[in-house]
Amino acid sequence: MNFEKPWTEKYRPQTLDEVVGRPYIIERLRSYVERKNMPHLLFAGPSGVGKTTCALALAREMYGESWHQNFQETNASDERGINVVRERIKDFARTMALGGNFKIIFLDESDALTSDAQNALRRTMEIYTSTCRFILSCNYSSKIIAPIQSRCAVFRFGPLAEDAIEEKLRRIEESEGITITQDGIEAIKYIAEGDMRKAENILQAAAFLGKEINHELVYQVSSRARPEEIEDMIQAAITGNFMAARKLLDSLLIDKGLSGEDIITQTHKQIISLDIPEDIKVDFIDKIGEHEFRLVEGANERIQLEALLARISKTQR
Amino acid sequence: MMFNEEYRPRSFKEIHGQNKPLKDIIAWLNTWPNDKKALLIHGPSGVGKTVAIYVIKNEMDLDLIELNTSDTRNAETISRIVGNAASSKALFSTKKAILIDEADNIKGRSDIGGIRALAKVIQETENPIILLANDPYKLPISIKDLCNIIRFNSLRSASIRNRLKEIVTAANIKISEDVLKELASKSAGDMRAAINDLESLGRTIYQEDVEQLFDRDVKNSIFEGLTAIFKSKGTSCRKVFYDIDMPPEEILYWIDENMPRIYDPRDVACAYYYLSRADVFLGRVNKRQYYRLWAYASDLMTGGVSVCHKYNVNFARYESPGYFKSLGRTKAKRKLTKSALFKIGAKTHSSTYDAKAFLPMLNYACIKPESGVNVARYFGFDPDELELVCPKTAKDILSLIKKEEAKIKQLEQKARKKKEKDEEKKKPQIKKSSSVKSQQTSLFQF
Repeated sequence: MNFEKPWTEKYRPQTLDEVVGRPYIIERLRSYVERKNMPHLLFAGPSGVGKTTCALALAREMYGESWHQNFQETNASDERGINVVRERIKDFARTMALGGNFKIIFLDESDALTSDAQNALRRTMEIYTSTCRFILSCNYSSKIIAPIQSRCAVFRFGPLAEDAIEEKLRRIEESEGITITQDGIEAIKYIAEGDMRKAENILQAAAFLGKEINHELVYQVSSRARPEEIEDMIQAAITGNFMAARKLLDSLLIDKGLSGEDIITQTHKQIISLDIPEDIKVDFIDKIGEHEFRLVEGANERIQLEALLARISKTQR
Repeated sequence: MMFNEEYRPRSFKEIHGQNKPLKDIIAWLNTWPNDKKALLIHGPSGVGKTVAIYVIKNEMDLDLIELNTSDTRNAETISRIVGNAASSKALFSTKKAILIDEADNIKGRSDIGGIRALAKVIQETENPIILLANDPYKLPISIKDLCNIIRFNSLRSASIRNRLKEIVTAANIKISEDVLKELASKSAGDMRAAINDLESLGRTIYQEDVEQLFDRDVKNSIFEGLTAIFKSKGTSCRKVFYDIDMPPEEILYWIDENMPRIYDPRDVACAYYYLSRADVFLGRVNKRQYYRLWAYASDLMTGGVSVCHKYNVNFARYESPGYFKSLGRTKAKRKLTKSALFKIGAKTHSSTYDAKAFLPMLNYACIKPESGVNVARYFGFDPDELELVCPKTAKDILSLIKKEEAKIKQLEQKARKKKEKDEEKKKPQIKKSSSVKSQQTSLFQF
């Protein structure tokens, strides 16, 4: 199979009807289309659960052919600073909407804005409220300041249900002329954890390797450290060979490109199934938690993981 | 093969900046044994002492017998190996010489009696003996009195630059003149270090890469600092670091790299406890921009690591923090990653963060070069970005694209020629229609 375009794009729903797994949200959005009016919206939820898709479909239905002129997509985390965001919004909002009363500005990752920037954004929203509606998308609505939240209708997008993902994968299967075995479907659902982007990417990656997609193919293409690799590292530490453990750690961090958090959560899983005294196990889990917390607080992943491995080497001696 | 092996000079013209001592060595060899003395060549590391001898060996067809530190050099081996060679004259016209590398390191239990045996051999030899040393003061007077002395000085940055330039050309590395100059000046006169640095930076070298390198002068002082930590047992060693011009993160990386090599394994966990605590404070400094916390980080990484030292330490060479250097090396790569992710994001309505989710899939999409061409076209990747997204097949993909483009060009040229021919045919008959036609095309282009 040759690459044509990402399946996330090829199979992105064009209308609200095509969106799977979001019946209540779609119903509310459709009522905006019927009334040809809407408030500012706040879409909150993790990656790959349909926030952007719903915004795009809403715009298409609201404006029909001319949706492109009336819809501006901006990314808060990629643009440099709130001023750039404001300039772009200003330029866009200045002109009249075509075939409608207002334009839509979709601001992705708006929780990446600092609270100062959000206050500035709030001003902007007020100034252009007659000509523009905002759809703000974020991972956590709690990171959006209260004044903005109160000006928006809030939509919560949880992880997609497994049924919804299966339905979509089966549609793609039919249209692409591939076969997905049931264990393949289960594997994708398990790894995707409710993230449609992830599910579709795994499926497409697997399809480059074979026409029949089973769970083995799925695990092969989803980039995770093999459990054995983590186990080797822990075993090296347990036998007191710290330098060997560090070398394995480096290969996971550098060659595999895993994040410190990835490695630490997988280490946690491995430690539980390790054949060591239970009290030591509990002590390790305490330490692992502490080091993960430090990573979240901005500590250095290699130093923290080294300290953890050194700690494991010591207890076993 | 390492650059330092691969590009080891083999002829006189490949040696830069050591002409004077080189000539002196040759002169000494040619006049030997006019005073029956050995030759002591000394100077800092990486300035070309050993290289000079080997080039002379090559160019003058010298039969060289070498004894370096990997061999034990006690009285018995020195008399046996060197003695044998020293007393047997070369069979044919080739000149024979004996090289004793790292002569200032003949000591310790395994080299017992080595010095006395060496003195004896120098006095009785039938062939010239050359001693190499970093520090001539470590050699006993009894040996120095038996030697002519030639010194190799630290290389000038210009000499290093000239040699690096030759290597860069031979190895096909992309680096600008200015960056090369900076790289050469970073090594503090040590050619070997400069070549190692060059090799560690990859095929395309940017300004930022070189900035990541450790200044070799600072390196000497960090070595002293590390020794202070690893050999003392208390917080007094923290003072040594007040003078080192290096940000605390970097000092932490140096300690992190070397502590587990030096410390007894039983002390490593304790030392890492404090190192990781120091790292927590550094993280807090960055997060809150509250620089007073640096003081705690510094004290913990020096004093904390030092108090953990309970058992005997190992003697190992200090290494520069390779892991973080390789991170630094990827700094340019990270910038590139960002630009590639930006292009992916633009096509998939994703932020650069979410765009990462596409990378594994695209990697599989590139397995077949024909499919990879579509990937490159769809996202509009430039060659560097493609190399990142499809590291294994980027070359094949690019050559395929080139081929296709060449074909298209050819077709276009053919079409243009044909068109010109056709127009020429038409010209004399109906001039007007051709002018109408050209108007039409320009309208179309507009």
